[in-house]
Amino acid sequence: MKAAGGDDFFLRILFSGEAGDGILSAGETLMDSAARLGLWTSVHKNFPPTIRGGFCSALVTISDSADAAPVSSFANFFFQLDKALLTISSINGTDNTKSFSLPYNNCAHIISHPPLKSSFALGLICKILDIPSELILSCITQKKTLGGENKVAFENGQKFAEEKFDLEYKSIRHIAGEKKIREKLVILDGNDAVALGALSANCGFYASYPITPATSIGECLSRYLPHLGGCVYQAEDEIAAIGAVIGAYANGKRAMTATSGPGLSLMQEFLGYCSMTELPAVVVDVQRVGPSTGMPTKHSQDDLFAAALGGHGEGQRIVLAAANIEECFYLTMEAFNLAENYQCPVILLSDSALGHLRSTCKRPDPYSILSVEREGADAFCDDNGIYKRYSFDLIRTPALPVPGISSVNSRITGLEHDPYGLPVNGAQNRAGQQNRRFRKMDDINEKYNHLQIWDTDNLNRGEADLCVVSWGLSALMTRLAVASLRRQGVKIACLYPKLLFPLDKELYLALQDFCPRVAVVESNYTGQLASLIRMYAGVDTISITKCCGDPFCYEEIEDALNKIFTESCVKI
Amino acid sequence: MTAQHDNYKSGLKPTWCDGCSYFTIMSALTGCFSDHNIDPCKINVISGIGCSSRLPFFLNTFGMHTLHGRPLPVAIGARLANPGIPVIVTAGDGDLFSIGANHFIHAAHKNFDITVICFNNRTYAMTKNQASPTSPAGFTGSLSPYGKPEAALNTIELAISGGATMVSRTCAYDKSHMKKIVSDAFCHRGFSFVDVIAPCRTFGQRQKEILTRLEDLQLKNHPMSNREKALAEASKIYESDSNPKAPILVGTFWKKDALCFEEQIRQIRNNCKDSPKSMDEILDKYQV
Ligand SMILES: Cc1ncc(C[n+]2csc(CCOP(=O)(O)OP(=O)(O)O)c2C)c(N)n1
Ligand code: SF4
Repeated sequence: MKAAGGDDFFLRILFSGEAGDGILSAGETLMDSAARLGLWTSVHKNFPPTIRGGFCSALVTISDSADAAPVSSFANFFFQLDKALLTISSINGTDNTKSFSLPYNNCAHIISHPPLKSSFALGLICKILDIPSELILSCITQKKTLGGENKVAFENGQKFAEEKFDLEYKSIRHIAGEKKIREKLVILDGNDAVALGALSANCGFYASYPITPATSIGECLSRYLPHLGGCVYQAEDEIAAIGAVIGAYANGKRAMTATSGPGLSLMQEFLGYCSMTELPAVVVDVQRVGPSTGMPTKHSQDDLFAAALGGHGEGQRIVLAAANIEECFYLTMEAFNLAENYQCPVILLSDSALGHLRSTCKRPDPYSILSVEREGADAFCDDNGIYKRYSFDLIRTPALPVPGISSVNSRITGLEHDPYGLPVNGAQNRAGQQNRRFRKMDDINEKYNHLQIWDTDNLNRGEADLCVVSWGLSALMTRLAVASLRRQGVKIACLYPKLLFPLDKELYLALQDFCPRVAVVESNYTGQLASLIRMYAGVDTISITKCCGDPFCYEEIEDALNKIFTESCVKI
Repeated sequence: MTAQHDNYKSGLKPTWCDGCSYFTIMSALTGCFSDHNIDPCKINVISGIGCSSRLPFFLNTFGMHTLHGRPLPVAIGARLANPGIPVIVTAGDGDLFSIGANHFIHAAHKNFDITVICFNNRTYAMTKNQASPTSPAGFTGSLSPYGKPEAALNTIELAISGGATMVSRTCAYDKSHMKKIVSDAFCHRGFSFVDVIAPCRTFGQRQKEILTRLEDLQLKNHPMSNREKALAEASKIYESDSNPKAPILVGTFWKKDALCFEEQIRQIRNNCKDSPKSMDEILDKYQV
């Protein structure tokens, strides 16, 4: 089995076992070591919603290419720490797999202290892959104080490898030496990247209520934001969090909240308030399996409807989705500018797998996207100096005056209001205001078409065998499946939208021109983007969905794309 | 004086019934602004939803008419983002103590520097007379034609035990008392709560006789910084709720000097000095 992307070197090491066995930290340690050797590497974490007990796994990918898939159904080394079993598949893709039982009893303490199992496994893998042991040990020490027992377990693992394995494995130290990455790399997970993107976008206020898998966005911000002159606030619930964000925006601070599905549900009334009052707000939804408490740590893309269409009434919203860690960073920056430009709420969708996917990536540039500055409110007063923010003829809603700074003031209400913002019930005013609020969104797709990623492989219209659309983390995996199919000669035109809503009708009509067979790959049951495309663009689609809580592997997408030549939908 | 008073009015005709006690509460507020010479561009009046919450439209200050029950979260965001600007929250008893009770407790407990004025008409007026948490037992509202089962929530007790650092009660019929209490609350640094007894003209009787029952704690030399005595006085409200002859206590029950939340976070931030101060320094922390 090959990694998508041709002849690149790649290795996958999977650790699994009970939560509490040290699975996640073993994965992170191995990943950190490979990164320090100068390789591209990632760790995809899968964990239960409990503190102790339950199944847990960490898939480490090590490659000399930035394109290696972080999620796969295949691993070269599979450590089942709870069953004391190691399965090794040949690196050449031939099917000769071998299994070894792990003799933990070499290391007396393991029985009483399960996390030592992972130190044993790290010792083993470090020997097989020829990773300098000092490197792994220093990475372990960075995380926790390395007890003597840890070191003994680690050395026992190395000894076991020396005695039992005569397998030929490329030394990754050697590979790293050959293909040293020249770029500056950082190690981030999707949630860190969102937080750093917010800081780079001059976010000055963050409010949230703890919820898996979004909490670590706030953890990162609470370390840094206060020292950049901002403020982080833990609210009593998500309603209060979005309320505080709104209060902060109305008082001159760029503000954000992050949550997951249950929190997004609670925020809906305030999101409608933002649409009605034309107040910006940035909301990050790190999706998890819903509805209700669902599977709180598991990957899903089932909040698109709630993000785009949730809440009562008809409001203006912008929905973005990040497909990888860099996009988590840059789209967060874009989200603040979009909120400012359109004076409406912006919801950025990430998900549990992406939020916790830890990976090497290019050092993001915090100065790459300039913060839009809005003209002062005073410019929009009538002849009597009264602020007239909601004039029917204003295509761009002016920013709000800031108490203490502006020389004019305003009243904000979620009631329908006249051009001055005062409540009125008139039919004509209502129709005019609602029309204006929707019309102001009209140019978004033209202005922000850089957020729609085309990959048409130089095909001309009508030349494709198949069109593929995907968003969020699924898009990352879809790219790899498409690359593989293209190597087999299938002609595919792809579209990976990062700006999902308002849905760009023209975009999907243009895609359909390549081939009327349009597949949409997403992690949910009902095919939410596929439905929106049908609803808003009238383009018929074939859904490829998976809703089990694990992200797509590119191998699954490749199989599914092969099937849709004969089937009208594929559920994995 | 009156001319100055009017400087704080937007000129919009209030959408309140003639004789509604909310008019006098508005006057107490505009009087307080004019006494303290507040710049209308340097104050935030934030309300929820209800008859009472319409107030910001009738004022000439910065105003936010938010959601039912949610003025406090918005007020907190405003305070944290713009700490130089005072915030007054005006809302009904239903807004603050039913749908928004959770927020009330936390804002009080954290001691945000916010003045909360409860327009307590003991009913949901805007939705046409349903029992509110502060309606007395037996109250007949549109959803309780045979009487409300439970007794009234004691807002004063709740505010004191919740952690508010100034807790007062006044009556909309006693203009001078109300003006003084509102002004004291406005000047208090920390979470101040003023429960204004404000009968609804339309869905209650005009209860002028209330005036004769008022008993001012300050005239009784109530020691307002004594928590036990404050709670003891507050518990007498149960008696005045059920016995139409019992005196109705007004005045400041409880007042305490304490750092407000805004000051606390500033102090905590100053405690930690070694955190990176630029984006480049922060990103360095993630360098491989
Ligand atoms: C979420 C929500 N639920 C219900 C309502 C309907 N509603 C509007 S005002 C109100 C009660 C108002 O009572 P109160 O806060 O005591 O203010 P008053 O009108 O008595 O001044 C209710 C229930 C609403 N606006 N929003
Ligand atoms: S219904 Fe009652 S509270 Fe509402 S405006 Fe009329 S008198 Fe005032």
